[in-house]
Amino acid sequence: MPPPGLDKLKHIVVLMLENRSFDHMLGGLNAQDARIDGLAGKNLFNLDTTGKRATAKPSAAYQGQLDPDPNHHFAGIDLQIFDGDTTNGRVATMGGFVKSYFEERHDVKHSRLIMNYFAPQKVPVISTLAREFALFNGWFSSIPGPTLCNRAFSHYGTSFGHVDMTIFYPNTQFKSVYQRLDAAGKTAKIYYFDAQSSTMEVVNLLQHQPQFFGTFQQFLDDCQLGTLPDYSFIEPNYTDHTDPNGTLRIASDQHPDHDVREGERLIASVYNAIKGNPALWESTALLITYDEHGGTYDHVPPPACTPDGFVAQPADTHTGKPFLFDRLGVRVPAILVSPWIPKATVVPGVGAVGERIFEHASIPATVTDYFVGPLDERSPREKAASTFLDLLTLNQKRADNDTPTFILG
Amino acid sequence: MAVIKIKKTPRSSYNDRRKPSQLLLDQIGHLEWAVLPAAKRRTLRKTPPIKTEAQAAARVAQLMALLLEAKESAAKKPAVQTLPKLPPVKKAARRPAAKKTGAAKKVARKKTSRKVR
Repeated sequence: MPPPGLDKLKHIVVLMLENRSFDHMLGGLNAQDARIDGLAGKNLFNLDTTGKRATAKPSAAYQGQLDPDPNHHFAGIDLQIFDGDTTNGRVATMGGFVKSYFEERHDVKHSRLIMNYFAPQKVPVISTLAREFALFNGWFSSIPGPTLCNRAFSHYGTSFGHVDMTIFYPNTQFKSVYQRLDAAGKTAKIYYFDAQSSTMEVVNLLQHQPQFFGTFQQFLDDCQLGTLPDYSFIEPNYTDHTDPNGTLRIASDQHPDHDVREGERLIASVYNAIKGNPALWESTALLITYDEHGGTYDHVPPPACTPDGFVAQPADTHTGKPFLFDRLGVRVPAILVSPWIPKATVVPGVGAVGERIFEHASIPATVTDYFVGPLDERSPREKAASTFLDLLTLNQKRADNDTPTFILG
Repeated sequence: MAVIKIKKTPRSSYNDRRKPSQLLLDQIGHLEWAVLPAAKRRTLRKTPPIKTEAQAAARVAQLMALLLEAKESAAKKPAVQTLPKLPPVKKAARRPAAKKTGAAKKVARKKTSRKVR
């Protein structure tokens, strides 16, 4: 018999932000809980281009330090992970982040800023949720590449062989998770922020199946009215822009160099919208994660993984070598929120006792397993991906006053 | 459990004249590709450069409208044969000055009294 939280589960909601690593956002939390695989007190460093140590420090700023945008294309990430070693027996050292960032501005002092991470009190929303619910020590971006190919894994369980930002018009070999749920009589929706922000990666779905899309305001309304679909995927606001009513909308995606605080507010808004409806709160699991690390430092080497069955050619990787989709990308924050999760759950990551590795293919894997059941037409990576609903273990729901409340100013 | 108050993001963070990221340019490229009929896609030339985030956002909205109109049309054909012109760069969308004092501050507030959310 499943635990009561799983028995009551009716909705899965995923909020995917942009371009920040686990250590960058949450690296200070191990000072509060040693089980968290962060940076505090470890004196971890990269060498800069003059050979001096650039130590990771809790000095990240909300805005202004990561301009220009750090490199997060395949070859740049290869440098960050392997520190320029291109030999066959190379080892991932996570030693090339500063050198990689130096290439953007050729300013040694500025390149060292890539090692900065947030002190927990500077990012209270994500830090609080990480301490209150389930924090994954070992959730990685799906490939060491940029936004779109990583987001593709969360929608399709594969990037169809892409490691870059090219347009995806995938074959029908593997359907999106939205199509799968629809075919099974379930409901699913991608909520983009507004028409000026729109959606990333799934333009093909938008073009042919716009019924799968809604706006963030519709998400808020659906939460209030109790009309949320079985599965929801939320996209942040990708630009600073003025909406048709003349209101200035600050980007909430946290993509450098957008203000991280507005992303904090978005996370809190999503959490509040779900918690604000008691029936929804007890029947929803909310996953908060980031598509990829965006070039910011993380100290955990990405592990090997089940090959995806596709091969990216050297012309696409720009490393002189093909990529077999047999290694994950850099680690990103991931937090699972539900009143059925024990407070301060830490899911062990790489090398820990009870190690569990997750990646973005874990999203369609979990959603499909739960709402559709066994389905063979899925990528090898998705079939091998870990699922996460077993974390809803409590026999009794946590009381409302035992879970955080955010008040937005 | 303590209640956590989250302050508004300061208005000075807003900068719609920021140069758009490659991510936004790629997003626009995808939407442009999608609104055109297949035959036109092969000859698609790069549109003039998008200069600001505000312009990128306006372009995305423009293309979204075309894409959804095309879907709604009975024939389900792309609504356009060529891409529309880029939205202009709005001069009024200037980033507010970082620090001002006294009377200058009051004037600045009057001039840019739109809500920030």
